[in-house]
Amino acid sequence: MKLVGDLLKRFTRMLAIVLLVVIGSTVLVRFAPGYFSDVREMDPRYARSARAELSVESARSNAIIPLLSAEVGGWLRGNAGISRQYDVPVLDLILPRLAVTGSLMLRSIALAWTLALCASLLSSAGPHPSLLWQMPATLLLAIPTAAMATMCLLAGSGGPVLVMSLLLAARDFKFLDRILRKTWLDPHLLYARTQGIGVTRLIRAHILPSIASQLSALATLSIVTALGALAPVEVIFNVPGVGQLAWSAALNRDLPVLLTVTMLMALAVTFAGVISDRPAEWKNA
Amino acid sequence: MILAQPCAGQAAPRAAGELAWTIGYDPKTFDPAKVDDQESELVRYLTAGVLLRFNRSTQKIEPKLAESWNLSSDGRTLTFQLRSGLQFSDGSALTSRDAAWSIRRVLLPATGAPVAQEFLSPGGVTVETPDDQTVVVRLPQRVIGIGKVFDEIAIEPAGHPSEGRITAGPFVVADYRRSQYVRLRRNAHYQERDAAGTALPYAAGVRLDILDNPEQEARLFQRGEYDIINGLPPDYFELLKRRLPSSVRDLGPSLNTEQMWFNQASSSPLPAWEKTWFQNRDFRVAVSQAIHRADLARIAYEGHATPAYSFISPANRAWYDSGISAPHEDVAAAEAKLASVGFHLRGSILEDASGRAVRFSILTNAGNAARLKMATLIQQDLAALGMQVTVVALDFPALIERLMHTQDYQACLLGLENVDPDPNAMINIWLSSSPNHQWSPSEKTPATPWEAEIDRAMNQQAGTSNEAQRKLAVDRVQQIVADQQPFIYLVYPNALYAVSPRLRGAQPTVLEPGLVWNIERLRLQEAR
Repeated sequence: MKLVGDLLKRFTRMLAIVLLVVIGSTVLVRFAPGYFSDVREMDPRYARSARAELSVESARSNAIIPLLSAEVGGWLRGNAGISRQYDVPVLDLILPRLAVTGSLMLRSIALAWTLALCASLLSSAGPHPSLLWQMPATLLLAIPTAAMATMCLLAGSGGPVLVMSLLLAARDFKFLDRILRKTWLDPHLLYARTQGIGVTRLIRAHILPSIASQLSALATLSIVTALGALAPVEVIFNVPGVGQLAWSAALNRDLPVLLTVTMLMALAVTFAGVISDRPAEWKNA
Repeated sequence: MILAQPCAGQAAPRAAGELAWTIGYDPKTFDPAKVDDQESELVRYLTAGVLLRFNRSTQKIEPKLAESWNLSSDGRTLTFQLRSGLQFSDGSALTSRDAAWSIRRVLLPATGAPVAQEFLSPGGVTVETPDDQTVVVRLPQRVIGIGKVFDEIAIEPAGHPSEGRITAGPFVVADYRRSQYVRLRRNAHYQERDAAGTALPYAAGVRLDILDNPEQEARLFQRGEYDIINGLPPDYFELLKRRLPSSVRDLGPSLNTEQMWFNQASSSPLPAWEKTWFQNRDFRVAVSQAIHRADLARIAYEGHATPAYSFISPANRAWYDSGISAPHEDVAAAEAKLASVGFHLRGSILEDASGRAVRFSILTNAGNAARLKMATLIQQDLAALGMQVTVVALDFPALIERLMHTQDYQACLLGLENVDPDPNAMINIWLSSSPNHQWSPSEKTPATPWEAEIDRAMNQQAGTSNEAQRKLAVDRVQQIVADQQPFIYLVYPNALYAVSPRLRGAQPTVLEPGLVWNIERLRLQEAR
């Protein structure tokens, strides 16, 4: 019962966060400079139709409450509203891109975790943190994602998965190395090592179970980091995903699209948070 | 395998004989009547069958679906004689009924076709079809350049608008994936043939990848995935020139201009003293004289631009007035001019007659490297006069809000793309009542005598078909603009292109759509 109550509480908290995100995004975008402007206004050939579209948007978005209810209405109708930029239902824009972005994220996170786990297992086996491992990780964290993506593009090698993976692996490695280094020094592991138990068995039977909850928290961090890197990576590599759509929507002040993307991201982050918290509590229970 | 994954974002593999290049964003519509953005216009150009075509190379009107056409002496009746045996891409016959229906559809207010405005009074236009081959269009009033208007009207099957899927042009829309590509397929029923009798177009299709990333575009061009780059930025021109010297073309000055202007609007929220500076002709002329345009061309455009002193580029041979007298670079003259109207230096700071330091910001759009470099160079040039200039780069929506809505800016640096060599196309920029009269939009009555004079001259050229009189009126406007400097013209960027060595038939022009104006005759070497 306690577990169900707790889950309900978390679900309510998740909904509240999403609602706040909706209100915050609507207010921010609606009052962003240039909301009521269109680049075609500057072109005498297209200025007239741009102004006509703007006057429709102006009537629709004049007050924040009707605007919010119109956007929520879009969700209730099941199409998430109509994109201002493309004039099509937002869900039609987002659904095909979700698969692209999901695949990019999954592959990046999988590769990043493999790299980070291997590197941290090797690194943590030594007595002291080694510069050989720490330096590249620090360097990778210092390079902005967009710069790394641009370098790959100019060099003509590597792609979005590699850039995202390196970014995530560097971050994950820092945490994993610290966790593993501490775990290796646990008294029961020291004792097991003196008894001659193999490293593989130690990792599988002792280390991984004991750091499961920390790994789960780190997984959430990976998702959040990957979501943050999505827009620059997808824009630079021209990946037709949600990040690219969000970037274009921001440049064009496309509120329905931005709202939906922000909501999806908020849902992903809060849901990952809920999931990552569970193992520790289940264990405690 | 994951590590080796190439840079993503590529569209489907290229079909044999298919041409490929990029467009910056998704076309807003494929309905040729509703085109109101540049990329939709390109798709219409590639797919639409039109009665007349404005030849971008000769700059003359040519009959296309029409075999001949005739404009009455009063300029109010057009008669088109269609070619015989015309067909749409689905094999159905194209008759005058289809042409009349397409023209009427464009004129209907419900369609909301931007091109309807070019008829001046679209409601009064009538279209008749005396027989299957003849279309007669009667206009309530004379329209300057009416032939070119028909270059923008796609003839569609009567009663069945198909958004480019059934056309009488060289290609039809075959596939569209939002934010990825638009794929066009060859129209097997296209009526044109080359001199040897081979059916046009040569290319099996066209793939327009949606990509707004010049680095990626240049890289993929080098890999042979694109055949063309239209409107190459100067830095990428130099990069490609080093790697593929035979692929780049510099056609010299384009029709486009880069200009700076001061906010002279009386209704702007600027302080009164700033308005006084910006409305002062001598102030504007002094600024113009202090700017080293040759440096702008050399540094910001890496030599691929030409100093500008007028709104008409020398590329526009019919309308350019080489005899206009414009203030050229002369810092000493600029200082003297400022001194004559009460400006003076206190230390290294320029002050007006009431002791206020001359400080202002120049707005420009973020993301245009050449423009930002120009703004920085102008900042340095004006520092020589003691003016303290700040460069502010904003994204386009925010910039346009300041320019068009709040008018909360002091100076702005932007460019203007001129797609039509006829200066009448720019009438909305010059008429003082127009919202696009940038330095002081939507004036109820002309704010100054010289603006009234520009209004008169522009209306005069729009009201006569006498080319000599029109030229005189436009020359007059060029001279007034040079004297008053409402726009301080900086450079004409050169028309820069990249063409794949495999592409045959390319004859680049400075007019849009640049390299692909003769799309029917472009082909890849392997396709033959």
